[in-house]
Amino acid sequence: MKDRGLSRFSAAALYVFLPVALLIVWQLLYELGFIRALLLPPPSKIADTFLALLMSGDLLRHLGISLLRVIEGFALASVVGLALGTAIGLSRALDRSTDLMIQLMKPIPPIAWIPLTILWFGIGEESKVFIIFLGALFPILVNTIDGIRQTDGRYVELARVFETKRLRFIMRVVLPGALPSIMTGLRVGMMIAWMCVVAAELIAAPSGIGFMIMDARQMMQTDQVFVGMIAIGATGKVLDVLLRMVERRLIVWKAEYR
Amino acid sequence: MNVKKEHSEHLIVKGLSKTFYGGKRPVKALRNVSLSVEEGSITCIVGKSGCGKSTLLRAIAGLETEYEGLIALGSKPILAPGRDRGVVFQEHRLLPWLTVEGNVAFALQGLSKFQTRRRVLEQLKIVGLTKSARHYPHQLSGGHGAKGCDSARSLIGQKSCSLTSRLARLTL
Repeated sequence: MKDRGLSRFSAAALYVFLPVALLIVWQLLYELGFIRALLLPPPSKIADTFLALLMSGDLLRHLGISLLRVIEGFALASVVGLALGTAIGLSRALDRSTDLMIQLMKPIPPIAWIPLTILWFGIGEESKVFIIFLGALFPILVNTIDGIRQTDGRYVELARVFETKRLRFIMRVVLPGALPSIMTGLRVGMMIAWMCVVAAELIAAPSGIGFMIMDARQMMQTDQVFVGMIAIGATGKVLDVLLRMVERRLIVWKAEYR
Repeated sequence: MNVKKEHSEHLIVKGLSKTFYGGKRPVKALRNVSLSVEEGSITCIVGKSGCGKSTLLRAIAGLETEYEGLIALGSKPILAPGRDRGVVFQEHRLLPWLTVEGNVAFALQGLSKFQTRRRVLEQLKIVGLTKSARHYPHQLSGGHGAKGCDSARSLIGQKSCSLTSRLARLTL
């Protein structure tokens, strides 16, 4: 949200102040000999490694592979989460019969699924996509259910007055009304999917940004670990910005999206 | 209340009583209300706030069903909401995600796209909102546009009776 009373320049300056200040202090501490490069490489070294990995194409290759896994897992979670969430949100019986199961499964971190995942899917791509799917599924599912349950009672009355058919009621009233909540679920789901990719790539991955980090750790290349971490953070931010843009286009009627 | 009819039905309310049990104490909103409305006539129900005008309209609309007494339109008792009765609620109930055109079309079912559009535009012309057909409710100026669209929607189609909780600016 844009602060009132701030010029465009000062708003932008305020936005980047903290990370930039951190980088300067960090570099200074290194130059003054307070930190060891092996444990905490300075920003200048990380930048060098970043450029080197970018030029060699390694960074983009690993990032591309991870991104593909995230998109696969997230797409699967979206389809299942939206379909199941809509069905549960619309049916009291289904809601009652699935609620306990969802509440029990929701707190299990995706990483705890890794042993079973290996047994079920082996160590190939499927197991990684499954872990990401599990991570993204619950926020999407729970937010979809909530959004549908919160359908405005006044609009339900309106549909009764016009004797609106059920399918039309769902398409014109329930789903558009639930859209803000669904979009929140998708954004949280995307964030968790991206967080899960590193966990998923712990499973004997030969590539991917998580693999790149683990590989660099074993070689004590802390600068490369940082590059991997920053790449994850930056890609996550870009994906979130993209989803926000979709959100703004879809939800034109809400004051906060105008 | 504005009651308008095109057919032979007329509205009868007999011994209508309605009590709300939701709060701490039961609230008796209507006590033994009887009225009869002739075909083609306009009836206004005037009273101070909270005296039960809206409850009476909601009962006739079929939105309140737990009551004592009888409500009938023509020869049929009213048991549920129906498209034979147009309802204009106290506050406009436009769906914010549909355009003005989409909101009015929401009241119509079973027509082709072309027919729906034609009927909607005819209706919008009556309330002077033709130019706003593609606007969203929040883009309409002031309360008049939204209320006009709401009224247009509630009165589209064949109505035996139109119920309105506020003074509608209508020339219908």
